[in-house]
Amino acid sequence: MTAVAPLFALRNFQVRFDTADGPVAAVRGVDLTLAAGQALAIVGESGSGKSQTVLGAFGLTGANSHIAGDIAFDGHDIRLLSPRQRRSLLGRDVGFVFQDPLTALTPHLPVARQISETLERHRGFDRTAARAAAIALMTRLGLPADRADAYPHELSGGQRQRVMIASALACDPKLLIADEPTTALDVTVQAEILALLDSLRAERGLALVFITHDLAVAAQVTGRPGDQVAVMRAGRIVEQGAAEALLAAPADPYTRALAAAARPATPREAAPTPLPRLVVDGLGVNYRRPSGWFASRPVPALRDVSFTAGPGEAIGIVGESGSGKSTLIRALLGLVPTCAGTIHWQGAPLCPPYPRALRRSLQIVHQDPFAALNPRLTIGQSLAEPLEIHAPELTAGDRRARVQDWLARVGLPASFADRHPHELSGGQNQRVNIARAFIAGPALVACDEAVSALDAETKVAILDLLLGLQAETGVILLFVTHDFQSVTTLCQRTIVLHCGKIVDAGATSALMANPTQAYTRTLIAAMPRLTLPPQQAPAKREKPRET
Amino acid sequence: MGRFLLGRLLGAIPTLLAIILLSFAIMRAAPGGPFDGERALPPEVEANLRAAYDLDAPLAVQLGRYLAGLARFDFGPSFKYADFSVGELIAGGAPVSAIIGGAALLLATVLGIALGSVAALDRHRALDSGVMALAVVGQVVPTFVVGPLLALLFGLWLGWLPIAGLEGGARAFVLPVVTLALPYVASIARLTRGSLREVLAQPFIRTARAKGLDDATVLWRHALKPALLPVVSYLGPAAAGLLTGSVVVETVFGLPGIGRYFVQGAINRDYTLVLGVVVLYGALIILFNLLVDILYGWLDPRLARR
Amino acid sequence: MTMPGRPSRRSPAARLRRHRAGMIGTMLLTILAVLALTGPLLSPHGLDAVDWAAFERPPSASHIFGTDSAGRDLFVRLMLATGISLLLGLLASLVSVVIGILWGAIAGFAGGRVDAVMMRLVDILYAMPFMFLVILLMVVFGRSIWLIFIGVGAIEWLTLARIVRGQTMQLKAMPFVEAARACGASPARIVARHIVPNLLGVVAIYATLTVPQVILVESFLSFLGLGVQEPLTSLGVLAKDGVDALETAPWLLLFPGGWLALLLIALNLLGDGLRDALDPREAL
Repeated sequence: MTAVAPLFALRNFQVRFDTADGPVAAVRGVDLTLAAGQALAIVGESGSGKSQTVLGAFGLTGANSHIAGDIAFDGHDIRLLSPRQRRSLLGRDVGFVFQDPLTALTPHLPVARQISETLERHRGFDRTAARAAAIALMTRLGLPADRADAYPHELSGGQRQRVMIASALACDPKLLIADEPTTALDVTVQAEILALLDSLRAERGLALVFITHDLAVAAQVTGRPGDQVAVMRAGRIVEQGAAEALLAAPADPYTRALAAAARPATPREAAPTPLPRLVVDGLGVNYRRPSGWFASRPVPALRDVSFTAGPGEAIGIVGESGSGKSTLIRALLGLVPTCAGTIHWQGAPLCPPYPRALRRSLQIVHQDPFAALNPRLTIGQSLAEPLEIHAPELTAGDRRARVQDWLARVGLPASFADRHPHELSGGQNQRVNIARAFIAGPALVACDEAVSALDAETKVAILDLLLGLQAETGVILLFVTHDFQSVTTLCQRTIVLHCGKIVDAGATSALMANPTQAYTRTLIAAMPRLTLPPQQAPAKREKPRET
Repeated sequence: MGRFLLGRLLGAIPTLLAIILLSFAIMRAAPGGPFDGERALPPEVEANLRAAYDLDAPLAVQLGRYLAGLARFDFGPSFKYADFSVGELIAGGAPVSAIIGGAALLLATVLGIALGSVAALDRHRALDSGVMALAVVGQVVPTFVVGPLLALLFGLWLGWLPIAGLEGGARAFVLPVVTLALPYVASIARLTRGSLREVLAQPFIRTARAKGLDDATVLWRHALKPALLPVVSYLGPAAAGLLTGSVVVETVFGLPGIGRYFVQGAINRDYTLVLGVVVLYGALIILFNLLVDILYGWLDPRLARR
Repeated sequence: MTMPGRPSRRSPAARLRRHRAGMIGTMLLTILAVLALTGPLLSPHGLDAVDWAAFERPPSASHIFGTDSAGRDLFVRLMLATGISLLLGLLASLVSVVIGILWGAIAGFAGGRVDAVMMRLVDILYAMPFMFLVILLMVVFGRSIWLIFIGVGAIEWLTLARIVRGQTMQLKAMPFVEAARACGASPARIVARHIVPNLLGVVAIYATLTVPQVILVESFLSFLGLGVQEPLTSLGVLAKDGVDALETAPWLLLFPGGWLALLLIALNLLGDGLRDALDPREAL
């Protein structure tokens, strides 16, 4: 590292939580050093201990946690400081930015007040001076000054995160700790926030600890000389080093798997377009927003959407939050009413309520694998339900055999039939959801952000599973996502939605290689990615390890 | 804000009308009348009385006249206290009831929130367990058991406080107010503790701590307002309960409040008096719920515009 | 800020067994109920038997809780009263729970205008001074146990209807319900298989918490002389008699008052235990 005394260092650092199931070690001996002005990205999956490491070091992990090891910050041995002395460092010498600014900002305080209170606390500013300084900082960070008295829920996601950054930077700290600061944001907003952080580092000589689950984002924030990346798993650092070298040649198999998952995928080759089975023409959907006791007024969610899909096709439907992408598949499945246009399926127009036979053909896989399964039913019961509805001629024995068969096809042991969803991991539950969608022999499966809630490795495995199942069954896959990465792997064709309208459509490879539409270009440019050439081709993707 | 208030006030009218209609219907459906005395009155006397009290008109007309009277805050004459109108009786009892109810509500809110906060913030759990155990007991011991016991202890045995009537000025109100407030202190303490615990686990509290704010500021500026939401929504039902409880307390401690008029009126079949009290209490509860809604908007700006 | 949560893998029943207050409540309730059932049989004194040698006597070896002003054994009367209070509480709760679930589930599942009308009615009823209307009913139509049921039922179902409606709306929006709809499951199947089983926990909690409310309301009415009538008795009736004899025979208030408090505490603790056991965020 550098010869200068580090700004922030951990030695054999540990965090343990008392829980109802006994003590749980979240961080099991971590060593880290960070010099002034440098950036450190800590990468890991949920539960890897990456956030607990940094929060624990500054005493922010709550009353049921126990800390061990050495913590040095700015010449202080943090463990020797009184709570009062430690508090005087927080907000003054080290600032924090947290995930999901909607819940991380106090709902009932105007935003300027949430920035200025740090100045009052540490700099002894009076209320007027602190407010003026807060508004000046807001302006510097690209927030309109007239939003000073707005409440957090009145701002957009990106504006809220700027407020958080402003309150963390108000006292000009030496270190900024950002805990998944862009995870809750759309990609274009994420790109803006990352750019802002980068310019602030340059401007203020700020050191940065950036916690993320996404290796590509980590690569983006550690672009300056001296920056480091540390990869964590199960409470330990598995690999750590200078960002550029580590990302170019990951040594640990786990890091390699993460890198493989983050690298741009080879696009699925476009197949000759089959005869369309699904024809959507000029589709429009309104949401009804209640106003008054009995009345409601329509708000457009989708306008003039047209596309077609045929057997064996996988179509990506890409857009940011509020683009109407989820509404689109719900309208196709007859789950929300349409207000304009037509949907034809095998030449016949569809209009809700759909007959039972049609329900059998059209299936859905949801984003949250836990919420998509009834917690009171066993996996076997959930899987049997489509058969009970659509194949009442089957005996109980037949159904059980069919369930066992499908458990095997999605890579789960037969014994899972008697378990409940809470006994399975997210990835395993998502396999169950996929099996439920396929079990009654559908002709179209719509996946609504079906891999977005999963860790990088699991995501890759689930995409593989979907590819395999589509090859076997020839279903139409409609794959709704905000993530170009998975679309590239899975879909031959892609539709880009923006504010309820199709703004771009075409073969995925062409769309990715040279996007013609401005919005698509913005989206693709905003996507964080690992652009380094693959050192050694990631030979074979390892089978997912699931807990 | 003005539109919101107007909307809520208009929305309260059907509720109030329903209360009046229901009470009116129950009383008119009652077997027997207010003049069924020990011995039967001569028919012509009774007819005169009925005419004087407007009982001979068709029901719809009676109801119409009653409503018209209410609009002028005229509750009609009392059947039993012949020299008084219901309005006068209520006005006579109102100050006593208002003092007891208001003081009990204030005591319950302030003490309940304070105790609940102490329990929620207690790191060692000893204080927490103690306060919560007391709260469980306080919540369930009925007013009519606590009142007499307190009177026995502090009035008869220790002789510190008066136990009945208004003799002794402000001291006369101590026992009734404490008795009435006790279950609500307990409930509010439990509510405050639970919701404060929940709020303290929210991400924005961690943000506040990460700014280096001390515990008192975190509690006062960031945690308390959202934690009070459930407490405030409980104040609506609590106010209704306090009104009911004041009936017991006024009976137990022999205080000349509205609640006691209500019980006596009910026993005497003094219909206009009972109806008047029910309407008044209904209006109070509606008014209180309206105040609660306004407070809600102040505590959480996300709920303000709806 | 506790350990980033993963739901506990224990079943709700196992979680309740680990809940100290919940278990205390369960045991206390069992003891009180068993005593109420067997006490009158075990005691040598009859329900209405008058001991001519003991009027208003403090507790002694022959009358462990003493006797009342009519020379009746207080222990036996107290057990009878406990049984009746508990029975009244259970029955009235059952009535209001059934109404509350149906009302709330229909409003929540139907949504739209049906929901708006049904919940508006609940709002109106909520603002009514029901205790006063019940008292009014009692006075006008005479004292009857059925009126207690009607009155108490009318008050207590409102809260449950609101809670069940909220839960139903939440469940209706859950992905697993949408998956069932997308799969072609009929509304009846969705309600029976996916919504009701997931509502049962909440209903169990509030049913348990409704019972003590009802008992309290009944005892309040009895205290005003409007509740259960002699020769039957309830904890409220005994407490009222105790208040009247407070200066000469304090045990006549202390035992029924204490017993009532114990019963209510037991039910409340059990309800709290159930609530925590069914809340996955609670560490148990």
